[in-house]
Parts: sequence; C-alpha cells; structure tokens
Amino acid sequence: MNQSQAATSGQLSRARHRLASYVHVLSQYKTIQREFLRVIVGSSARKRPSLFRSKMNKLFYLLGIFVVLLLSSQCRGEEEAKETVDEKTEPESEPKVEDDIGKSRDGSKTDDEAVQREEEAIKLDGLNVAQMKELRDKAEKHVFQAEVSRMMKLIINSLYRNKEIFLRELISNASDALDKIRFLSLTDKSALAATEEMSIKIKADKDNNVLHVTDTGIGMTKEDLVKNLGTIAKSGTSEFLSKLQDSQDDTVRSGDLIGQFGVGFYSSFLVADRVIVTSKHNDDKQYVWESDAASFSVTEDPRGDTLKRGTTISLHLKEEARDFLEPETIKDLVRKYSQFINFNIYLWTSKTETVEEPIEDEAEPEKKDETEEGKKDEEKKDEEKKEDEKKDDEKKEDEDVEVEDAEEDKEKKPKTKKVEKTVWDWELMNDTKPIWLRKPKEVNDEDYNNFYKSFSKDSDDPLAKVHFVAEGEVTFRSILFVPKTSPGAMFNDYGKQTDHIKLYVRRVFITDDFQEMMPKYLGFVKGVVDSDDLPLNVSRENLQQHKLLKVIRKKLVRKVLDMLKKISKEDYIEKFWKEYSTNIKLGVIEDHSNRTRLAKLLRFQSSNNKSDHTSLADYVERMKEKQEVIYFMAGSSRAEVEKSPFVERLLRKGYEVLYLVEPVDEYCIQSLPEFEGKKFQNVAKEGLNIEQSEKAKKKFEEQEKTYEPLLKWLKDDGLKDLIEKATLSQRLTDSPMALVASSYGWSGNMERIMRSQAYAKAKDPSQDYYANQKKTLEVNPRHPLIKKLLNLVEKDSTDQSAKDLSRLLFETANMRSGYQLKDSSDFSSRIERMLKLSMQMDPDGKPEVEDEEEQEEEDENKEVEAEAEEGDEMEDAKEGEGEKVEETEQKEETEQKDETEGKEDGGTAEDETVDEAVPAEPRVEL
Amino acid sequence: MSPLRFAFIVLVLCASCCFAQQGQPMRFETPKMNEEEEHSMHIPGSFEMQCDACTAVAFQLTSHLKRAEDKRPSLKKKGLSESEYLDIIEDVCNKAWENYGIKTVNGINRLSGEGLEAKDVAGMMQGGGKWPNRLKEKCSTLAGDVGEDDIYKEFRKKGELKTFLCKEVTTDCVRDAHGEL
Repeated sequence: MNQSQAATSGQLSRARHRLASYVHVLSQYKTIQREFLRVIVGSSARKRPSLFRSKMNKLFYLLGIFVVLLLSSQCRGEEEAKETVDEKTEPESEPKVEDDIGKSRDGSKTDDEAVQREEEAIKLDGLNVAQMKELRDKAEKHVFQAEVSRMMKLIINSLYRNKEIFLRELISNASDALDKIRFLSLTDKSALAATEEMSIKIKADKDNNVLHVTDTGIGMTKEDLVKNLGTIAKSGTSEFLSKLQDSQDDTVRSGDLIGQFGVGFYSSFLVADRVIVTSKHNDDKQYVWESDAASFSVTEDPRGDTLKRGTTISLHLKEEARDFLEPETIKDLVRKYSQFINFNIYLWTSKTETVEEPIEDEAEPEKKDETEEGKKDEEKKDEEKKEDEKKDDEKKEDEDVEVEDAEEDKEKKPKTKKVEKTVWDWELMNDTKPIWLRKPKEVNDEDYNNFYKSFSKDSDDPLAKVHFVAEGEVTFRSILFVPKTSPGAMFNDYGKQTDHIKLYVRRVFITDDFQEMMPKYLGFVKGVVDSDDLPLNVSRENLQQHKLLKVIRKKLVRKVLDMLKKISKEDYIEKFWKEYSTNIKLGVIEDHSNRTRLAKLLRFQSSNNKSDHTSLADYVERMKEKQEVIYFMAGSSRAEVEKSPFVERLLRKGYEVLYLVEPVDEYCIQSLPEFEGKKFQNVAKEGLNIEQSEKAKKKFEEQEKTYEPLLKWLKDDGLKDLIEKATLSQRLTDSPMALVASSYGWSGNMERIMRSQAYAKAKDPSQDYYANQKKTLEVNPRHPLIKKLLNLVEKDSTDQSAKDLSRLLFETANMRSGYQLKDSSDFSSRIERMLKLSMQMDPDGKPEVEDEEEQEEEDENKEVEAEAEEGDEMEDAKEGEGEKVEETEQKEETEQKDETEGKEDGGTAEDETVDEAVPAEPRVEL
Repeated sequence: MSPLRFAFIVLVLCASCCFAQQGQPMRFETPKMNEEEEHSMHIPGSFEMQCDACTAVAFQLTSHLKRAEDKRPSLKKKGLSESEYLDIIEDVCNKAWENYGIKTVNGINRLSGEGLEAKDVAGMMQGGGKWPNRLKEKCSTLAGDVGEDDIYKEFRKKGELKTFLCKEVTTDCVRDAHGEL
C-alpha cells in the first residue's frame, strides 16, 4: 500500500509539473469533492459506511468524467490512477496515509494554523484581568501543610545558588506524568482519547515574564492538586528535611535530594513569586491552582478544558530570574539536565529567516491543496481543522513545520522571491531515542555518565557500567550502573529494599518499583531494562509472575557479576570493595547459584600483606606445596587476629592465613563449601593438621605420652566439666593453652557475634548446641608453665596450687581464644588472690578503708612503673590492686619477687596471661 | 528434635513393615552420623556423599525435564523454551529434596532417596533436618556453575545428566580424582 502511494505521489508530482495549467481546475475539483464528502459523510468520516462510499465513488466517477473532458488524454491517465488511490486510501487508518506527509508542501499552511492555535491556547494561560479576578473570587483558599511551608523555606534557602534546577524538576515531573498516562493507555485505550500527543512544551512569555511548562501527561484532578501540591504525604519527609539541612553547604547534593523525594515542584518558588498550575485529568474538569508560596487556592478553570489533558505550570518569574526567559538559557538547561527524557521537549522559538515568498499569490495555496490531497486524507484533515485537531498527532505537525522550511527552498524556487520573516514554531530540543537503543560503541563515557545522573538523580559519576543486548527467548537491552557510593540505609531495611531498575517494554516505561529484578544483595545496582518480548499490557502485579522475567533476572545478575569482575584492580578495592563488600558476602550466603562467581569477587585481609586485600584465587596460588586447605582466622580486628594464639605456629611455618575481621566474614566463608577444590579451615577450630616431618611426628608422639597424665588430670580433675577434652597442640608456639571449638561449633568470634545480635534470645534452644558446647583444650607442651603444671600434677594430683594454676590458665586461654568468661567475678578474685600471693601477702587480707589519698597515688605510680612492662591498659586495673598492696610497703621486694617469678615461668607466660586477663576485668565488671 | 522424631517413625514403620512381610527379624544399621554429617551446612565431603548428592541432583533434573517434555510432545523437536527449563531447574533445586536422607549401607553412610542406590537397600533412613537444604544448595550451585542452558542442551543430547554433571563437569563420582585429593 505504502509503495503504491509513494509511486502515486511520484506520478502526482510529475503530473503537477507537467500540468501546471490544469492545477487550478484540479484543485477546484478537489474542493468540490471535499464539499461533497462533508455533506454526505458528516463528521464521522472515519467510520464511513460502505453505502456512502459507493455513492461517493459514483460521484467521484462522474466528476472524474467531467475532469477527463477537460484534461488531455495524458493527464487523464494520471488522474484516474490518483482517483483509484483516493478511493482506496479513504477507509485506511491514518498513520499509513501520513507516511510521507512530511514531504507535503501543504504542511506549511496547516501547520502555521496549528501553531497559531497552540499559541492562542497558551496565551490564554495568562488570563485577562477580568478573568483573573473572577477566578480569584471563586477560588477555594487553602493553607499549606506546615511541613510544606517549612520545606519550601528550606529549599529556597539551601538552593538559592542553584536555582536553575527548577526546570529540570518540572520537566522530570512532566515526564513522570507522561509515563503514567502512557502506561495507563496500554490497558485502557480511552486514556488517550482527549489527545494522543505526548510531549513537553516550554514557552517563555517575555511580555508578561511568565514561563510555561506544559505537558500532556496524566494531569491532576482537583483533589490531586490539593493533595499533591499542598501536603507532603510521603513518610520520608522528615528524613528529607534532615538530609536537606545536613547538606546545606552542598547545593548540588541538596539539588539532587529534592528530586529523590518528589518535592521538586516546590523548587519553582526559587525563581517565581507566583506559580499557577493548570491541570486537566481525564476524570475531572480543568482546574487552576495558584500560589504565592504562602497559601494557595484552587478553582475550576473559567476557560474550560483548554488543555484537553495534562498540566501547565506557569511561573511568574521574579525579577532576578528573568534570564530564564531567554531561549538560549532554556536550551542550555534542557541540554544539561533533560537530554535523556524520553518524550519530545519543545521550545517555542522564533527564527528570523529568509523565506522565499511565492510570487504568484493565487497558485500557491492551490498547489498546497493538491499535494495534500495526494498525501493525506483530505476530509479528515478538514475535520481536524474543524474539531481543533482532536485526533491529530501534533508532533507530526510540528515535524511538518520543520520539514517545510527545508522543502520550501527546493520547490518554490522558480516562482518565489526572498523575504525576511520571523517564524515562530515549536523547536524540538532533545533526541528522544533512548541511549540504550544506541550501539554501545557509539556511546561515549560522558553520555553514559550523563544518562546515569539524569535517571538516578545522583550527582557523581557511576563507578562501573555495562551496556548489553541479551538475546534468546527474550531479547532485551539494558544499561546497568554501580553507583559510586552505596545507599545510606542499605542494610537497615535490607529485606524491604526496592531496586532501582527501570523496566521498559518497547520503550514504554512500565515501572521502577519492580522488586524481583535484582536479588537483594545487588539492590544497589541502578539501570534500565527494555524488552520487546514482554507483553505491553502487563500490569505490575502479573509482571511478577511472568516467566520471562526470571530469564531477564538471571541474565542481569550474571551481567552485573561480570561487570564487577572487570573493574580494574585498584578501583576494585579502593572504590568497590570499600562500599559493597558486605553485599558480595551476603550474596555468597544467599545466592547459591552464583556462589562460585561471587566467591571470585571476595577479598580478605591476609597475613601475606599488611595492608592489601587478597582474593581467594591469589591465596590458592600462593599456597604451599602440600597445603590442602585455606586457613582463616576470624576476629574483631586485624590486631586481634594477628596476635591470636591460633595463628602463631602457622605463621611461623610460613603458611598464609586469611584474616576475617568483618562480622559477616565468618558466615560468608562457612557458606562456601570450597574454593577451587580447597576447603576452608578455621584455625580456631578442630581439624587443623599442620604438615609435619617424620621426626617431628615421632617427637610429638613421645610428648603425647609424656603429657598423658596431665591431659588426663585436666579433663578429669583440674578442669572437670569445663572442657570436652584436653590434647597436645600442634598450633601453639608462645601461648600455653588455647580453647578450640569443634569444627561445627562456634568460634570465639562467632560466639561474640551471635551474642551481640540485637534479636538474640537469652536461651535460644536452636542455638544451645553451639552456645554451650564444651571446647577442646589444647596445651602447648613446649611452654614452661605447662611443664611446671605437669610437674605439679605428677608430684601430687591433689595439689591446690596446680588446680589454681590450671584454672587460671584455662580462663586466660578462654579469653585469648576470643570467648567470653562465664564467671568473671570469680576469675577476678582469683587473679587478685594470685597477685597477693605473688607479693607474699595474706591472700585473704581484706581491703582497708581509704584515707591517705595522696600517698596512695604516689604508691600507685611507682608501682606501675616498677611492675609493669605490660602497658597502659593495666593501670586502671592495677589501681585496685595498689590499694590493697599498699600496706605491705615493701615495694622493692615485691618488684624482685615479680621478676623472679617471671623468670621462673619462662618470662612470657605469666606476663601474658596477666596481660590478657587484667584489662578484661574492668570491661567485664562494667 | 524433628529429625529424631522422624527417624523414629521411619524406624518403627520400616521395622513393622518388614516384620509383617518377612516374619523374621532383620538387622538394621542405624545411621551414625559423624560431626560433619550432623552439623555441616554442606553435603559432607566423603566420596560417597558427594557422588550420591550429585547423582540425586542429576536424577531429579533429568526426570523433571523429561516429564515437562513428555507433557508437550509437540515441542519434541524444538525443545522447551529458555524460561521453561529455567523454571524447572529452579523448581527442582528448591523443592525436590524433602524425601532424601542418610542411610547406612554396609557400614558406609550414603544418601538415600529417589534415584539413589541406597533407596533399595533395606535400612533406616534418617531424613529431614539439614539434608533438604544441603541438597538444595548442591543443586543450585551445580546449576549455576554449569549453567542452565548447558544442562538443558546436554539433556537434549543424551537424555540423562549424571555422566555430564558428576563425571565430566565435576569429579564428584570419579573415585580417582578424590583419591588424589
């Protein structure tokens, strides 16, 4: 059909040139034909019954004969051809017919009119004085909700240096409104009955200092106007207010904030002292909302439904903001902020151009008529004119205007003269072709960054991006971004988080509130997905069920993980890992099917390097020849795990140990069964086997025999009921003892985390097994204290001091291994007792009532100096001891004693145990 | 403890059933689980367990895919669509494991359930507990690692998945590979 039309139009134009002299007649014939049609068909031309058509055809035929008589035979042939086309095209639907409308010179005439009509409609917004008065008298007066007033003040105060964002916000709101009506029209065709146009139009009225922003979006009912523009219903308002106050110095950020919280409209008052909103919703009449920032009024529009559908925001600009009426300023702003809006944005602009005016005044309009006839269904056009383009797509007309300028030159040259002329028309300011439809190669980074900023309302460039087309059962295009900073409350409401993926179906925006697009742990990813294969009439509800979405989701996740893998090494740790490490770790725990991929993204601290993080793959690469497992140690800080008794031996032997210092780390590793065939070994748990030489093995076996009595005594006597069993340790070097959890029990770190869970129950039966599990006590056979203990036990297994020593060693081991002491006061009094003993005092001596404060202090100081190589932490604890010791006055002796004892015990041991124990005391007591 | 109760019921049922049928007592080996089998989040590391788990996954995937294809003979040539097999695989991994558990066969702890050797050996199976979750994890990880597309492609080609999943892609059922480890 189109082809034949094109062909016909080609013939037509040829005929036109050849038969210039007949044109007049011809157009008259057309006019007659049009008149006939109007009479016969009335206004329902499109649904013309066939009866009428046949009558019409007869008429045409008769007319055709009439014309034939006038024309030469050559001309007749052409004419008949055209006629048949006319007959055929009449019942056709309009889009097809309009295909080459742009080439029509006739566009010029109609479009000029359209533009004038537009102009008039918009001028009306500035209502004349009488109307305005009437409007004000009738208006319902309202006061802004307190929060709104407060917020407006805040916005005005914090953004006064960044006024220009008002336009971005208004365009963004307009775009949202258009998205809504387009979405609605997917399921309800009548939604677009009022007008099919979907565009945003900006018009600056310099005479009255008013800037109009008009959209043909969903519009607002009276209720909407009062509600949306007078109150803030959103629950996050207080959050917004506090954030806005926080970011007052940073105008860019606060500028972004208002968009995020949907209160961008109020930024109008940055530049306007009076704002008038005219809005027409399909379900209501047209209303006018007017405000001077102090109060607002709403009234029915006396002009009637001039907008058909949509909203006009008219800003009566403040004197200092009148620059925003300049077309160049507006163009710059639109380019800067709104270039990725998916609707046409037009600006009402004037051009002074040299137009070639026709010399022949009469011939010109006729020609236009003729061409129109060929291209466009004429009676329809007429009706449109009559009905004020009820059904016509204005966009197309606008295009006509533009095209016309170009065409004019070509076609009119022979019979025209040059004239200077100011032309006003709607100038398209943006390229609405979505960026994701372009080829990745053709889009540069800056475009991506700008696009990201425009849809995410983020002020920073993204950290990473991926742009791809997925093919298969469902084809879709997508651009995904990782923001530079993670959303603030990401884990506060981890369960509820919505994601930031905008879903389009065939370029039509569907939703950005679709929870299933990304798994929770990737909730930070922002982007767009556009699929041709999803049904357009999806509702947000049944979308959830849609099987194709599973496919999309799966592919999106894998693409995101790919993208993360490709982040450069420096950026990965510096930027990505810093922000999103917890997300990846949670991913390992939650997402089984991508676990292997996620495991490759993990980074941990390690004994290999003081500051750098290592990947598991790098660890495996560095593993010693016969090392079979990946060693890790979990704790609350690097210092803690580095000094842990469990890593002593491994480090000395040159094994690398991963240091897991984040609370989630241990969970994360536990949920990995293996990495590249290597299992994980928590060095604080059972199951640690360090490779030994034959000789060492033999020696170990001997030692086991030697220490058999001690181990047995510890289990059955000294530490009865406190430990599961006692064994000789392979992992200890410097510490005398350590407590080791069973492979599936809680490590000290885990215990700490589990106990500090805010929602932990005091005695949760499901955790009893882990919480109350007895641990294995590992003793270091090379340690002097252990040797001493063995001596004591061998001599006399009922020796009280052996019991005390073993008990104290057990308790310090408990703490060193990261566990909590069950009975801290018992432990403290035992320490104090030992201290008194070591200073040869009466262990049961009671403290005196304090009196000589000054002297005490002196004593303390000296004592601390003398006694402690230990360090600051001890001081607090020592104070207590000092008071009690004070009476004995033999400081010299004490000092010596201490030293000798230290030596006897092999120096480190006693000191260390005390070192560990004492600082813990005040904490526990607190 | 529900696994224990479940185990007890199973024991009683099995026992009564067997007694009734055969009229003579039979010896059952009650599964004694080591610490790993009792508490680990994952399928225990022994060769038997690993291989059984993989076999079970392969069996379930194969039978569900087959069932889906049989339901729609018209699709025989073209095969299921991406979304369909994705859905099936996801479903299998999430919920096919309720009736799997541990059974001691000739002194070795094995997994028992549909598609596994141990199912046909008389004995007491202790199911529930952590087993469904472990198998779910195994299944999802396997599907994710191998890729749903490749799994289905292989299924179309060979009609079964055990060789592919447990001997080619993984070495779960290759004894030598485990010996080396």
